[in-house]
Amino acid sequence: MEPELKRQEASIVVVGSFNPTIFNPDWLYRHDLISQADIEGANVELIHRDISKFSTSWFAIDVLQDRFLARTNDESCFLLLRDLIVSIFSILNQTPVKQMGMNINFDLSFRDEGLWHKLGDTLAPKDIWNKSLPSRVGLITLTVKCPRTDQFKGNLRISIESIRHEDIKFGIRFGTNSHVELNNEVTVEHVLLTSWEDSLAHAKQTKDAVIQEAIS
Amino acid sequence: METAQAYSEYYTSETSHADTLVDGFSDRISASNSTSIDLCSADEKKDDATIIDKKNSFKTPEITVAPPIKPLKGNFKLLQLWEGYVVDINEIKHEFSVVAKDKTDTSMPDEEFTMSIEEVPPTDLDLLSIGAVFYWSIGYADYPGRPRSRESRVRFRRLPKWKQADLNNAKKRGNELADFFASYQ
Repeated sequence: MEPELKRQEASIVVVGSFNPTIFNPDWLYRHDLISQADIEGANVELIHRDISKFSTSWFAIDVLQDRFLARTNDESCFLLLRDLIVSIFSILNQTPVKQMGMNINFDLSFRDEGLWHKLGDTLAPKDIWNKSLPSRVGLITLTVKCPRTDQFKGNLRISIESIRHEDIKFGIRFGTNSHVELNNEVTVEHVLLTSWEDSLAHAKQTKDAVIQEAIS
Repeated sequence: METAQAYSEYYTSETSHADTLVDGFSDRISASNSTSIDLCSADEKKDDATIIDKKNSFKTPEITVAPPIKPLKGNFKLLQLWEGYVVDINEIKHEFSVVAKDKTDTSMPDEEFTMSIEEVPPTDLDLLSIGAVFYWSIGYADYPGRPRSRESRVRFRRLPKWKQADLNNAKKRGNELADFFASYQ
């Protein structure tokens, strides 16, 4: 039986040089990038020269001096998140940026403990470890990487980690990172407008294919 | 003004809290150029990962799952999503016509249908115009303290407004190109 999808979160990370203080709900609202309902429900944790951290009902933004992060765990807002970030970086088109990542994490729960172990045993065979370690070995986290084959320079990174939560007894987090190197022609807006949807679709396909292959 | 004052108060009074947050982030963000988010235990060292701890206290258990984004807790299970644009608005019938693409099943052809203006959130009404792009999603919403509900959501795309300088530059460029091509006639 295939695992149940419990949660998923999409995020966009941009590496560059930022002034965290300008990132706040009021700035987004003044530029008409969020609605009045969004700003009325906004939760501002901190606006500071070193870090800005706030959220609305459907997205959260964290900004450090060298990193911008926007995320949502509402699948119906994945395209809205793209639009928001495209808009932000269209306005801030002079901001120095050098890399970006399009990420999505899936939290999955296995009803069958045996299948959960089978997934780990398939992805990380235990025989070699059991010869040296005194007790049963379990997979905590696994990460693989491969170069991109599309128009952008960068790589794809897949990570699988074991998780446990109040509603997940035997679970994994399947994470995908689609990393892109930016330059004057390859901008944040260009990458998101051309690749965001494909990145999400590819992440889902990869997740389904890898898990199906590992537990069959 | 109240919002600006609130931010000012945050700026001046939360410095020590900010220092704590910054230190917490700095400890967990490597110097590498990774653009992934690793939500593993903060105890695990990663040579090439960006670790961001979502909890304010930065005291993570051995196996962590990120808490829900505040302030909305709960889950929305998407059943159907369309992306469309407005082709007609009928004020008398209080409805608008759209052409929409099924984003859940991309093999489906584009569809044309009519929606009630009541479906549009009040804060998005000013975005309702011919050509405006919107997203319509239907799904099950599970929020703490409430039974499961089936929700229909319409949200319009928001893009930055054109600045007058951008319009002027575009017009100037257009004139230059027109003159250029006219000179070859």
